[in-house]
Amino acid sequence: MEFKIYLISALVMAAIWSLPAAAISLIYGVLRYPNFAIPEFMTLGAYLTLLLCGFSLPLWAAGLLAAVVTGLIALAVDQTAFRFVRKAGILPPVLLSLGLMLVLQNFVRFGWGNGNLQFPILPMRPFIIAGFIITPVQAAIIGLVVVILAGVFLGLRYTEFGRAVRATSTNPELAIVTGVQPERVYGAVLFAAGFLAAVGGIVLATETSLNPLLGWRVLIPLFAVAILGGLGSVVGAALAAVLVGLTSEFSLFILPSSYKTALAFLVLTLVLLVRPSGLVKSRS
Amino acid sequence: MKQILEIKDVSRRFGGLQAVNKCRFSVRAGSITGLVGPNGAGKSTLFSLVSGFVRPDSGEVLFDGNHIEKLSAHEIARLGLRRTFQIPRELKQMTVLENLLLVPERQFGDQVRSVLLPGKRVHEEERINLQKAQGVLEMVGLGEKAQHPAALLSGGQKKLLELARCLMADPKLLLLDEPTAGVNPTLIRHLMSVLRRIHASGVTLLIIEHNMTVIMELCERVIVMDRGQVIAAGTPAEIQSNKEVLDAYLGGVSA
Amino acid sequence: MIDYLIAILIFAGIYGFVALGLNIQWGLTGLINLGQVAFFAVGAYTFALLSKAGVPFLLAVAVATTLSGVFGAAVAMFTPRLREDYLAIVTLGFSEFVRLVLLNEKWLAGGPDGVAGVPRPASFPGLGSETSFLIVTALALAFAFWFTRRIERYPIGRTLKAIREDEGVVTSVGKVALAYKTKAFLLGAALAGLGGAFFASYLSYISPDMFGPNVSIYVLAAVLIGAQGSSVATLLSTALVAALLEGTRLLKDYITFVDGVELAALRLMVLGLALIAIVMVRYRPGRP
Repeated sequence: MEFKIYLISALVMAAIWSLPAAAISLIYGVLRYPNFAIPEFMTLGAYLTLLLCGFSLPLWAAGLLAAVVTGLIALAVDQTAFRFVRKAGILPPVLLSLGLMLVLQNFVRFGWGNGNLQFPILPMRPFIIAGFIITPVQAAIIGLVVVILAGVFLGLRYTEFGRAVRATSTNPELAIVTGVQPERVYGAVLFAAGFLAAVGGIVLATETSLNPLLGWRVLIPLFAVAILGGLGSVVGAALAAVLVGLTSEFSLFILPSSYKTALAFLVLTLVLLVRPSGLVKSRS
Repeated sequence: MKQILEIKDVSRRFGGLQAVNKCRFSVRAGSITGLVGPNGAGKSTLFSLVSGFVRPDSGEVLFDGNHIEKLSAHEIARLGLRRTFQIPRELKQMTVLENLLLVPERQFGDQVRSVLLPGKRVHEEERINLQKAQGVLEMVGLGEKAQHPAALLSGGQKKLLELARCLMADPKLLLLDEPTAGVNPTLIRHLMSVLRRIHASGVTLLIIEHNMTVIMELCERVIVMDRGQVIAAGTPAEIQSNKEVLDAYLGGVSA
Repeated sequence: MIDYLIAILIFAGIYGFVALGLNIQWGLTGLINLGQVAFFAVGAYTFALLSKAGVPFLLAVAVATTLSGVFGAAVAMFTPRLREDYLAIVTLGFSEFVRLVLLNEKWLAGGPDGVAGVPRPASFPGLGSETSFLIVTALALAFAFWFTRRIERYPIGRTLKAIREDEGVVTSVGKVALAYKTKAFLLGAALAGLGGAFFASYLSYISPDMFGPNVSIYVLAAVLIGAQGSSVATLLSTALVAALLEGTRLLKDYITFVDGVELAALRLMVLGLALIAIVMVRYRPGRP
């Protein structure tokens, strides 16, 4: 019984992590820097959803709109700041993302305060299927994430634009020669990253609650997932999310729950030391 | 005749490429030996293997009679085997002089505790190293550039700086990776006379070089590599008339 | 007003230690460290626990500094070959790891409640506690400054700069780059720990939430303004950042239309924006 509860919990965790981790992974794969502001886009997306819910929009509509707005904000920040340090190496965008992290987190704190808030949803009776207890919200989260991930995967693999993204990731110079406009690719990647992170934040807030530290608290697990998944690979990120989710949930048998994040840090460090290319070989 | 460097069946593979394949030759102490071969023959890789920057998959390397194939790069350097890089790796943000002052080993001022103690010992040490560095710079002809930032040197001068950095350590054997590549003809004459002077001071030289004039004039013995292996060795005159060597350079087209 | 000035100077001094430390690691040696707050925290907690247990001020400071240095060396030794981007992730992750340990281990450091009643050193005769503390901080900072300045100018500083430029060259001249990188991380972390000890002593109360990433960002901004490399520039820019940020902390007595949380959030937003602006100026296109 206990085992089944942990399993569901791990899958929900994996679903929540896989979208923002895919966002980190995408940016890493195409623009080659770790973006520490992604978790804050999660927070921002969740709070924007709350704001829109205040205008009596249903949660799904508010969430969709908030995710689009977050994507646009990510795009705007990229175009006004990150764009100007594109050729300056890894460190400048890393530092910019750190500054952005602080700005976004404290913008939310300024607007909504430090307390915990909830989306206006009523608790629903969980399903029981073959002994697995799963709430409708959890089922919806897993379904939604699977659909979005499949969409991203198919989009990258089979569309003309997806081909451009992959080409830019593999070899930017060559991509330009074949007619790809890198700046458009970068813009699209940033919008997608903001969108994915926001959806991740919204589903995380639905499962837990809204707090200015919503995203920051999962920074380490997200990077563990993204690195384990082989930076640049969306499928890798999803697989790694399941793996890290299972590890951290089942660690509860031996470790106190507050050490989930510490465990993720150990996973992250180990992967970097032992197999920095990740589980799935990155395209880059 | 004493061999300063003995390379015995050294191999190294990178992915699907057998860069060096059972390579075998030796270098006589006190000689100037040339190492030639077409691009991709494995010459630079061999230098990296000998100097410890890359580990051989198999084989032995003896320097002065001692096994060095398992030592790390800094340990090999300390034994007196120094290398230059094909593309000069000068420290751009430092002056020419500072590039040399980096070199001396076991500097007291290179330890953290020296910072906490009175400065006299470090200053004395620096004075001695400075004198030596000036001497080395005079020898290679960079004496007037001592205070210039290394970034402002010309391509040829950067090659000289690489040489000077090696000489600071009083090496026994110098591996020079294409010392004249990208250097203008006037400076090549100068470089060759510098190399002769270094040799005269008792340093053994092993030189990778594409410029045949340099090889002919400097080297007493030439080793030819192709596809990771030694295909010929001998005096420059013998090598010039060797059919296999010509084939290797002409892409293996048989006459 | 003079009290405010003293407080700002003390904060500037405390962050000065941390920034000088980061300057050795990043400015001199080229090793990015986004988690300098971890070593700051180790120093602060070590000092707090020791001095509450009755250990004399100077001894507690010395132990706190040393222990932070050991942590720094450990981080460097576990990450010998990490690329710049990975080092950024690991150091940031490590700092959050340290904060979580402090938050969770109640037996060690009081958990979320932190440690209260950390003593200050005895005041000089005839001077107030604040003024005395400022003098002690200034003396210690002067020592740290002398130390880092000598590092910069001594042969060891030359080797560290050479590592920043091209590690392969340092190896090719027969030096063990990893040993120097470890030393640089050790020294930088030790200085952060020294700052942490003064921080704990000055505030007399510390808790895990004081050791968030903003402290690391604070000193990153200072070292960046100082153009990574010179101790003098690093100290001056730290003073500038401290004056701006600690100065605005004092605004809460004058500004009534925002509450405490909002003001704190605003200050950190300003810090974030400042970092963004500095990075964009420092790395603007066309600049070498």
